[in-house]
Amino acid sequence: MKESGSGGGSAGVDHMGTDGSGGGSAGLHNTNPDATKAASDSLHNIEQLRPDIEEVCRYMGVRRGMADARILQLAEAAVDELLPRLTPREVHRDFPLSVRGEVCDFTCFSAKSRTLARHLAGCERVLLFAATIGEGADLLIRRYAKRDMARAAAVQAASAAMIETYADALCAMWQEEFALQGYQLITRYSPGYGDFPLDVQPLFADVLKMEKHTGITLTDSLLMMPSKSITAVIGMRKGSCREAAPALDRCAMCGKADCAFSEKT
Amino acid sequence: MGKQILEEMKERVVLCDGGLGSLLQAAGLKAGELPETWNILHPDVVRQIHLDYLRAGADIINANTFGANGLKYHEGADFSLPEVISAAFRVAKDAVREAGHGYVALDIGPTGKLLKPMGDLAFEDCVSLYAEVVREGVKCGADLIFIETMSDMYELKAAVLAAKENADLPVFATVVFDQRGRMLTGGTPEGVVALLEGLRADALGINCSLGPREMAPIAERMIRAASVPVIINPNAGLPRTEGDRTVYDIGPEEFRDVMRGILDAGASVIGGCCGTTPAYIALLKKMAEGRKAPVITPKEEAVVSSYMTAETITDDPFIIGERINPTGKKRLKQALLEHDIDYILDLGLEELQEGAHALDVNVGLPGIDEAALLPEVVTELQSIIELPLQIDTADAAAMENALRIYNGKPLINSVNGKQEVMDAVFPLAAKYGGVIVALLLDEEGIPTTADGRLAVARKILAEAEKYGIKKKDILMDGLCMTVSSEQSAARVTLETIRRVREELGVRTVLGLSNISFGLPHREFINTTYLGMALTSGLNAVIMNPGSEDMMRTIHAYRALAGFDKNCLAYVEKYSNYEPPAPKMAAGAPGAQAGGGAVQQGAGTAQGAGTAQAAGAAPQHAASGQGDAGAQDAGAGLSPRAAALMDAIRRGLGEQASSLTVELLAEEEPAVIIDTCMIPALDRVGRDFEAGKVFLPQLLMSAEAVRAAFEIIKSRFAESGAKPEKKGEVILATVKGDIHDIGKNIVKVLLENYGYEVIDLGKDVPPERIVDEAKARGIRLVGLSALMTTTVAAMEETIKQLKAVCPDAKVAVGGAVLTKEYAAKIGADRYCKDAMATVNYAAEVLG
Repeated sequence: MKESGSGGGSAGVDHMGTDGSGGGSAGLHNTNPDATKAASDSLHNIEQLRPDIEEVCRYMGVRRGMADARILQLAEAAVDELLPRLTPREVHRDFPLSVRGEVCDFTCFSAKSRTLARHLAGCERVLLFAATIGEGADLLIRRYAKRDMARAAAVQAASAAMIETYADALCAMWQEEFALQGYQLITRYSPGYGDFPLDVQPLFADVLKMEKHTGITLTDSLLMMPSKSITAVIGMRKGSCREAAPALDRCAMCGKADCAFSEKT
Repeated sequence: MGKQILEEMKERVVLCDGGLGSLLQAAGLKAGELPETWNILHPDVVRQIHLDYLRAGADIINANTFGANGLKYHEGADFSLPEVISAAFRVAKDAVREAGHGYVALDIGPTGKLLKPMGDLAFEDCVSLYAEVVREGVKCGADLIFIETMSDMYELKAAVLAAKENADLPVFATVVFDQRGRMLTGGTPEGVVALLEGLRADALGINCSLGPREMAPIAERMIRAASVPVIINPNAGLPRTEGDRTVYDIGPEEFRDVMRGILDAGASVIGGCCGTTPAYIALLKKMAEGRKAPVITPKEEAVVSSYMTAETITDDPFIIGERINPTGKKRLKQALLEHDIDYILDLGLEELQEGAHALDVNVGLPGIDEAALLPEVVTELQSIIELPLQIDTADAAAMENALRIYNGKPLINSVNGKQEVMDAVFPLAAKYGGVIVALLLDEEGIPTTADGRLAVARKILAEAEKYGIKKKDILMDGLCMTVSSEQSAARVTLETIRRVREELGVRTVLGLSNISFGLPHREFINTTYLGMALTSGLNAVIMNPGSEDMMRTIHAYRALAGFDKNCLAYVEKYSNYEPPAPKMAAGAPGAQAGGGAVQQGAGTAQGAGTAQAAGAAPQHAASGQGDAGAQDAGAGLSPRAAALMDAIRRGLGEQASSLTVELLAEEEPAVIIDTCMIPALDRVGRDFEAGKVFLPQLLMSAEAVRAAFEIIKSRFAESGAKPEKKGEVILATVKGDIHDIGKNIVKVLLENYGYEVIDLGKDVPPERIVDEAKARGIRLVGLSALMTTTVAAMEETIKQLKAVCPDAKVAVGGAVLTKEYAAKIGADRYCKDAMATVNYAAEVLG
């Protein structure tokens, strides 16, 4: 779920301005002293966020392989316009994990979810993260929605693909890092997937000090702003990457039958 | 007591305290626990931390109130807001008594919410939240108000306004930057200085997020821009984990050494943030002991800003776009009367693309509630355009409302030498900040000589000074009169500009199109006069950036006057320049380039002559070739009509509009709509439903229809006639939901099909939708919701609608909805996409 949000109002607030805080930075891996910095260091080349153009087209509601030259041009123009406006930021922390029945205990908080409990089976630790590509995408979407809806749809699709690309790049980076400690990271899982409730968003906000480190805020209805943001948990288990985790069929977790954006073509 | 700190800051370097939250955590504060509750639960711990800082040498300690606001300490919480704040001051003041010195600040942090239009907290609600905190702090005897760790310019403005309006205490404000010198929502150090000095903060600066090394270059930028004391409170470097602990990579000695450099650069107040402890402050104290306060030179730059950018008005021509002003513009007047905000936004976007540096915004028109509309338009413009705005109104209430909600430091248009006007405008400028356009006229009218205008200018400056408004924040408008009626007028204005610059040292602005009134080929006069005025010292010009002629003069002037280094911008702009083709002697005004070319492409020979004249002809012609397009347009259609249908099907907006201009010469608007536009769109819509084309193509066609409609609307505006509408539809994204792209797609299509769309926007409460539906006797309401969390609001809206307007049909759509879900919440129809909504509208409304 791309557009999950966090922090019902008050809960996500950082305190003190002085908090040395576990916030955001605590629990970060030794080689990544500061979450924001880590992200900008490892992904300093914004070009790394350039998404697969076919994926952008899919988000525009175009079936795979069906994009004509004008659609491709529209999608590529949106990507090119977005890239210089991106301000990717992330924060992550890892915790010991225990799963009992349907309750997943992340140490900092626990959540009841049957699907997540199944997904995290066999994991010993969990990494919580929040990431955003920033407000620039929202500005462009608002702008073109007033002037050129086709372009607005293209920017919306491109930025949706970009936050996914960013999250994928972060996950790949953490995969390598934690492999050094003998951990394998499984597929990320976001609030809103399956029965993992959106209500955990304020807890994410609080534990990660999301607003302070990434600028991600939550509306009262738990939507994240900037809208192109992701929160997720990643299970970590002992073992090598060769025993790959099963891929997540995200479309199967959603009840919508007539979706124009289906990953299946 | 409070003002005393400002006096001390003139004498010596003043010290803040360091981290508080980190020390509370070390003392056992748990994650998720509200730190302010410790003022009541563990007062001794908090008191001891304050005391340690005071003994280390801090002059100012922040009471433990950072997160104390009505969102966290709401009704029903364990402790009330007054309880935690008064307890905070009790322990802080105890510590001050025990230490024998120190000032206690009311510490104010971010709310954690993003403000509208980006988020869901209304600006005035944010001001109220902070006002409540400030009033408690005043009651408790705060010595100053310390707003810190702000990462959004708009929230910062809300906090400072609340402080200024509810306390007579010094206001300090520090913000968070990343290493690139940007706030989380994009603001720059220069923009922050412009905003905070405009709001009359007493000191400003940076805290948190960075260590002193990373902060130093940003601190220097801030010091360079600021005319008030600068505060620098960094973290103890960057954090890393050791076991379960967070440690920072800079120790007290190194921290002190870097901070010494920051003091040398001109900081007035220093301290620490996350990770710093009394040990850090003690070393700062030793280092800063006996250091005199830095000499702060007042900066003379004229800076205007938005939440993203800060623009300095220099001798390099500053272009203020003039098009959002209804004077003499029928289409804009119509848009204002119809509350068609999108049309206004469109004008603004055009000016942005044409190269304006700021936009004038004037919505004054008889019959318009300017005090309500101006702030609305300003907010809407700021949600999509990052340029600074010029608030242009003669209505004091409208001016105040707009200045209040403006995100940044705007231009203000205008004041003049009339006492009554100065009495109204200067207090507003003093309160909210801004660069003011001052017209050189007064009760006696417009002086006919430069001497007379300078006398008015002096009067205005003297009056401004009473309000503490600096020269740099005034632009004198020398007033441009019509040269055909008064030959000396042109020279008098130029002399005024020159002398305002030389004798008064004040910058100038001019709106100069008046000069040519009544003369043929006005652009000849205007461009020459623009060059003369710039040479005389004009800084800013209020003009139409869409005028090629005027922009050409600006570009040429910049190259000639040395502002365009190596003439690079000029070369880039004009190296491939081709002069426009001579105008056709006869025919409709738009009968030029695109139109002719398309005709050729559509297989007619008629347009060959015009196609030749068109620079863009080849590519247009090429894109017009190809599939069925014109052939299946049906019998009886003229070649132009067939070409319009083809342009719509291909989603070619420019061609669609130029063809519409041509068609209007031969057909009635209604005929064009019914026989070309709608059928062409229908065809695309059917292809979309059949899966032959996809959303992007549908939208491109819809935009082409919109472009054609815009031409027809302009024609109607000129003739005073009204286009026929099929019926009204309300569209809204439900309460709690702020994603509205889907709703906007539906809107474009419904409008294309001739429905009148009442777009209530996003995050719309049920009551508002019901009221509007009832008042208009609406028969169809479209609701959108993206998230499971907001479908509840959709259900509630439907319930209330059905109770009040039982005959109104409700169509719903959005990511999480399904047919079954829609039925469950009482909707009449689930629409899976925009075409489905159009079809349902046809069913309900015809």
